[in-house]
Amino acid sequence: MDKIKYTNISKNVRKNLLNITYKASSSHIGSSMSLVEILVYLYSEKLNKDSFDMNISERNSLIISKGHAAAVVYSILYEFDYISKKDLDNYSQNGSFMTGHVNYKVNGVEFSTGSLGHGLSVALGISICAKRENRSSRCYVILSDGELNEGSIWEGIMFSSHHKLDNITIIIDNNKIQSFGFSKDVINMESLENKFESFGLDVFRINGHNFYELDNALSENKKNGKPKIIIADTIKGKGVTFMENKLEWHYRSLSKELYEKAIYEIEN
Amino acid sequence: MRKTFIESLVFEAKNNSNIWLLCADLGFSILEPFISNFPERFINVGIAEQNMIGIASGLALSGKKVFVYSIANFVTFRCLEQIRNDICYHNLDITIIGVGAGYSYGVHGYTHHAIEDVSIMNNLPNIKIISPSDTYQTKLSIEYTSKNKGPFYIRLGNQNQNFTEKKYIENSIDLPIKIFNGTSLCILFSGNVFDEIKYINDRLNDINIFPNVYSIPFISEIPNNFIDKIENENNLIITIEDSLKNGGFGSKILELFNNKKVVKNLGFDHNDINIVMTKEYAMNKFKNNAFDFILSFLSNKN
Repeated sequence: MDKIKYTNISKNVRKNLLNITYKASSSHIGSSMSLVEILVYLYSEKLNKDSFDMNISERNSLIISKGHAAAVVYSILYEFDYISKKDLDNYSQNGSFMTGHVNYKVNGVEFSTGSLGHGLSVALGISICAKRENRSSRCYVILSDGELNEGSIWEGIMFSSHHKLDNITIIIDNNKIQSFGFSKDVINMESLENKFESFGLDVFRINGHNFYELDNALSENKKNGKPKIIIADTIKGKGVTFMENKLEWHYRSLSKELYEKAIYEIEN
Repeated sequence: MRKTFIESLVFEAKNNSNIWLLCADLGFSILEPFISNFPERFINVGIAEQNMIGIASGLALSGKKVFVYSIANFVTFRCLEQIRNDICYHNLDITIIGVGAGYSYGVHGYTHHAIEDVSIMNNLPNIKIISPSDTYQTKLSIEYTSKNKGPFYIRLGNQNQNFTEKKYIENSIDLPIKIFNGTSLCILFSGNVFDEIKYINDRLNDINIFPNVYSIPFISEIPNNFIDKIENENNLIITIEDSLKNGGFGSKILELFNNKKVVKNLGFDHNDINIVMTKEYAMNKFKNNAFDFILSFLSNKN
C-alpha cells in the first residue's frame, strides 16, 4: 500500500473527471468524486487486466452498481491503461461507448448498470459460482447509499448470508446524499451497521477517503461464512470545496469559471 | 409440458456441466429430478424474481448456461427491468422458462394470467421467444436452447399431447412446422392452442375446406422465404395465439407480410380481466370466430 502514490493517482483521477464532465456538460460529478479513493485502491490492489477477461475463471471481479459514477470509472480506467486518452475524451460523445452510466463495452467495465438495485444480485451470481466451484476469486460490488432504498438490494443481502458467501465484498459509497435530498431525510436507513449485522453480514465502517482504513478493511478476508460489507463514509463532491456535501452537484455541470476554480483547488 | 421440460433439461445437463437451474420458490413435483441429480447446479433463490435474474446474470458472466424457472407472469413482469438491462442488454446465455402461459392458470385470476408476455418480450433486444404447442416441441425447445446461445424466453402451458413428432421433418425448432396440408387458406398458430386448431380444421374438413396449417413455436425469427411462400400460396391467412393480440405473434406476422393478402389475427384482449377465465372458456369465442370468418370470406369471394 503506497499512500503517496495513491494520493497522486487520486488527484489525476479527479482532474480527469472534472475535464470530461466539463467538456461534456454532464452531471453526477459529486457522486463520482466521493468514489475516487475506493476505486483507486481497488484498481491498484485487487484488480488487474485478468479481472476483466471473461475467459479466466480465477479472477477477482468488480461490479459497479452505482452506474452513474461513470465519469470516475472511466477516469480511473485511463489512469490504469485500460482505455486510451481518445476513449476518455469521447465521454458522453454521440456514437461512442462512453455512456454516462458505466458500459460493459468499455474495457475494464464488467457490467453495465444505471438503474439502481441491479449490481448486487449479479455479484452474488458470480460469488456463488466461485464458491461452489472452490475458486479463490473474490467479487467486489459498489453500491450507493441511496441505492439501499431498492427492495432488490435486500433480496440480495438475505441471499448472501443464507448462502454464506464470504467471497463477496460489498462496498457502500455512503456519501449521504441521494437524488432529491439527504438520505437521512428521504429514507433514514441508519443504523446501517445494525441492519447488516442483523442480516448476518460481517460489517466494517470506515472513512472511504482514507487509504489506510480502506487497506485495513479490504486486505484481510476471513473464511467465516459471512459476506463482508464495508460502509465507507464519504463526502459527496469530495476534493472541491464548493461541491462538498451539496445536493446540487448530483446534477449541475461546470461553468468555465467553476471548472477553473475546481481544477485549481485539486492542483494546489 | 413441464414434465417434458425437466426430463429434457436433465438429459442436457448430464452432457453439459455448465447448465444451471434457478427457481423462485416454484416447481414442486416438477424440478426434483434436476435437484437430485445436480444439487450443486441448482438454486432456489426464494420468492425474489429480481434477485434471481441478477444471480443468473452473474452465473452467465462466469461462463454458465443458466435456466430460470417460475410462473410466466412473475418471471417476466416482476423482474422486467432485470431482464431488459441485465440479460438482454448484455446478451447473456440465459433461458427464462415461464410456466402457465396464457390462461393456463385462468381460474387463479388476472394476477396469474400470462397474456402480455409475448408482446413485451417481443420488444426487448437479443432475446428470442419460443412458444411450444405440445410436449415434443417443448423437448425440441430445450434441445435448441441447450445447444445455442441465449437469451431465450420459453413459455409453457399445459398441452400434454404430442401432435408434432409424426409431422416433424425439419431439423430445428426454429422453423415453422406443417401440421395439415391444404389449399389457398392458411392458419398459423403459436402457443397452447392445438385443441382449438384441430376443432377448426375438423369443422372445415367436414365441409370440404382444407387449410394449410402451420405451427410456429419460434416466434422471434420467422424465415423470409416462409413468409413469401405463404403469401404466394394463400388468399387468406389467419393467426391464432394464446397471448395478447396487441404486439403478439399475429402482430409479428402482420409486420412481415408485404402484400395485400387478407390477414386476420385472433388473440386475447383486456376486456375481461376481472373474471375467472380458463383457456377453454377464453378460446371458445375464437374457435367460432375463426370458423365464421373463413366461411364469410369464402362466400364473399365466390
